[in-house]
Amino acid sequence: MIQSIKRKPTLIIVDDHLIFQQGLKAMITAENIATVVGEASNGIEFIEMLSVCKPDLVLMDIDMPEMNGMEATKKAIELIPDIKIIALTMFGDEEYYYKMIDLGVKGFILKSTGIAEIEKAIRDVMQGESYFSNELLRKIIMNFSRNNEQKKNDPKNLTEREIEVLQQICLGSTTDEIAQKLNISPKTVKSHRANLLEKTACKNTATLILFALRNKIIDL
Amino acid sequence: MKTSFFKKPTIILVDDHLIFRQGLKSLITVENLGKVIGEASDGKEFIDLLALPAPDLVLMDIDMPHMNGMEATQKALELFPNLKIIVFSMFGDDEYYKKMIELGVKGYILKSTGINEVEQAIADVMNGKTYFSNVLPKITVSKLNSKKTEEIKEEPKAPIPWW
Repeated sequence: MIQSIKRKPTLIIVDDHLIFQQGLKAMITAENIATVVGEASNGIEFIEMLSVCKPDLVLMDIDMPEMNGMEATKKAIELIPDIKIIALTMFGDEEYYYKMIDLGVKGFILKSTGIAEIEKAIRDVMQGESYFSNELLRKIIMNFSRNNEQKKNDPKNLTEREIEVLQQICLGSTTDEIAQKLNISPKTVKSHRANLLEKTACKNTATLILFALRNKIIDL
Repeated sequence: MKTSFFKKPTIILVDDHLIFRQGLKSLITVENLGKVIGEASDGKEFIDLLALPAPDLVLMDIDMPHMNGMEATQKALELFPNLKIIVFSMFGDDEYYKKMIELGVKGYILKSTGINEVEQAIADVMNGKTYFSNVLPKITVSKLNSKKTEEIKEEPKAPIPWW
């Protein structure tokens, strides 16, 4: 099989547990997933690192001393708007999901999942997609159905076609695939996507997916 | 430098975060600290694993679903009183420190320390000693101290007459 040869992404790991950092680095290196160019044990160390190296990707813990993952994410994206951040979360971090996605993280993985999923997340995010572990999406939905009453965007001002496009986006289809499935041109898909972002006040695909989940436009 | 020799132990890892287990296992293997013969993601799975040949050593997380590390430690030591258990704790867990020592664990290290300390802890425990991260007494002492200061602040006692 021929695989496209790509430069391995450079990566910074941010986590306050050194053993976790070291273990993750060992696996990422052994599996040849990326080149770990830095390790930080809190947000402040991480932000300082950004002045000397600009990584392609960051694996970011949330709960850390000095400066937590949320603040660090915010600062990092201000400094390097196209930096790709994947949050590594534990059970109990649910309150941060929406905020982190709003800040612009490209992915979310639970620490209870393994290296195979990290590899997949890194690959997807490096290709410009977003990545959310299924287990996590399920938890988010449960959370949202519990707080269903609050802050609800009315999805009814979306057209039927827009909802179809949204469902396809959530399934991870590319613009061309959506165009083919719905029998419309890629250009039309793009304009539907732009309308969706505007109507739902979402910044990116990730928030759009959350919007769809929250309003039960898609099911898992 | 000369390090003490010990038989490379068979180890069971108990932690609910798969990534953590995989990382630790890979470090233990690369550094040749022992042989991981089993992994469990909570206390129940771990107790089930003890039906198989018992390991030399257990590396045990505390905060886990279904059955936490404390209950698992208690059960395991009832079954195998000589089982060597080293606790892997997060900062927030230091309330469990005393309790775990009372239960009979042989070591207690923080997840914020690195593989070198894990190596040291394994070596000490396998040599029949105990290993407690030296950060821990400081945490406990400073906690007790601040508690004491609060108590003093809250309940000022009447001065004791000199006679």
